[in-house]
Amino acid sequence: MSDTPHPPLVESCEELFLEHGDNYLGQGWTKSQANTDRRRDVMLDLMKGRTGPVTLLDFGCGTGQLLEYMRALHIDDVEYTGLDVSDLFIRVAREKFPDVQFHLGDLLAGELELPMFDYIVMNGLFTYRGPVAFDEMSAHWQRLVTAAMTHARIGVAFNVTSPYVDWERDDLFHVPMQLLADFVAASPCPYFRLRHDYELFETTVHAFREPTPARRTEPS
Amino acid sequence: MDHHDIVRACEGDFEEFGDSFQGAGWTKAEELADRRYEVMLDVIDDQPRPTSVLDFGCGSARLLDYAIRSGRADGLVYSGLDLSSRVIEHCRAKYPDRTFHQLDVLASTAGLPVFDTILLNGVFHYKGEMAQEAMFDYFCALLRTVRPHAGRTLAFNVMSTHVEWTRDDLFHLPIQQATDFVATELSRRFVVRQDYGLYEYTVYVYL
Repeated sequence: MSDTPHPPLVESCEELFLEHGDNYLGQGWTKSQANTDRRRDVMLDLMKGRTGPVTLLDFGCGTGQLLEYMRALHIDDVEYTGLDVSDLFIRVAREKFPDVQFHLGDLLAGELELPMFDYIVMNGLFTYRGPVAFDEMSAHWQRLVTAAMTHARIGVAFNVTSPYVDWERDDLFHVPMQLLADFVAASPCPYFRLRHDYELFETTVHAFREPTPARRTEPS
Repeated sequence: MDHHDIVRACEGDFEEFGDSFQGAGWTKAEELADRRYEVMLDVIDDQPRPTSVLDFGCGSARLLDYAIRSGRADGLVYSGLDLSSRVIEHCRAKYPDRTFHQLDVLASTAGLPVFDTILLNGVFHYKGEMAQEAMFDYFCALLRTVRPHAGRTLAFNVMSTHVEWTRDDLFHLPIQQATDFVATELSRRFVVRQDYGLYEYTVYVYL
């Protein structure tokens, strides 16, 4: 494993799973199934406007609950692949979906031979920081998103906790808008949308390699 | 210098170039002006029709030209507003069946109804010789003033700071300065779009 804040974060995710099982609580969301689904909808909006079948990598997929959600919605023009650094989660995901590809490993440690995908979503990887200091979390978030972007043909989505809240929590990753915008504007996917319209005290970023008109062409 | 000088500069463009993208103050190409109209109209995509829209700083109503030309005018109850009496006269002749308001809202909003959506396209790009702080004060004052006249959504665009170079006569506003104002004074539900490749960004505010 690379020298990153993964270990304490992954450990707390696994603990929640062992405590609550394979549901939204077990994936670290605290409020409700409806909120968890809303977050997924905003992630999936990354692919809105696609004009043909596309490939999607669910980066930090946990037990593959996003795939269950997509199947329930009959989204059948998206070829799903999962990736997680947790051996436990990937074992469960492979048992649930034996016909789907799940990668196990740490992209930053060079443990993975990842192909290219049209889209990559990173849902909930950067909302919680637990005991990790803000600056360390910030460096980790930027490194991991940048690494993921090199595997995305069209775009990447990720979410962070909002700075516009009634109170900030020390264990959540509240990212100021300027830091967020400056990072993405200088990244390999510099054309972005900041979604702060879905009332869950977080910001979802949709970052694209090309500006809007170019994206209207067929995905590969 | 204040917003009246900005309006005078816009009138100068209109007199020189007429009812064209350059006459509306855009400098590069018709296609790029259209892209801005498209991004503005995206904010009402999910709204049930009919839906009322105020095109604030409408110039010669080229947003409506675009909506008609691109098939997005169905159920669009369009009104225009501008401070310039010259462009409003032109609009009234061009679209006699639409409502156009000639109004300086910072002086008075008397008679201005509530619209589902207010779009401010290109109102904040150019600041001429106004100081950055004065332009920011104007930006805040105008949005505060129009806010009670928008029922569902507001959208505006400004120049980005993520550019190769900034120009002293344009209003490059750091995103956080815009979102701090929006989240504090207008609504915490918003979207920032800097995905369309034009050295600017558009903010949708859901009220």
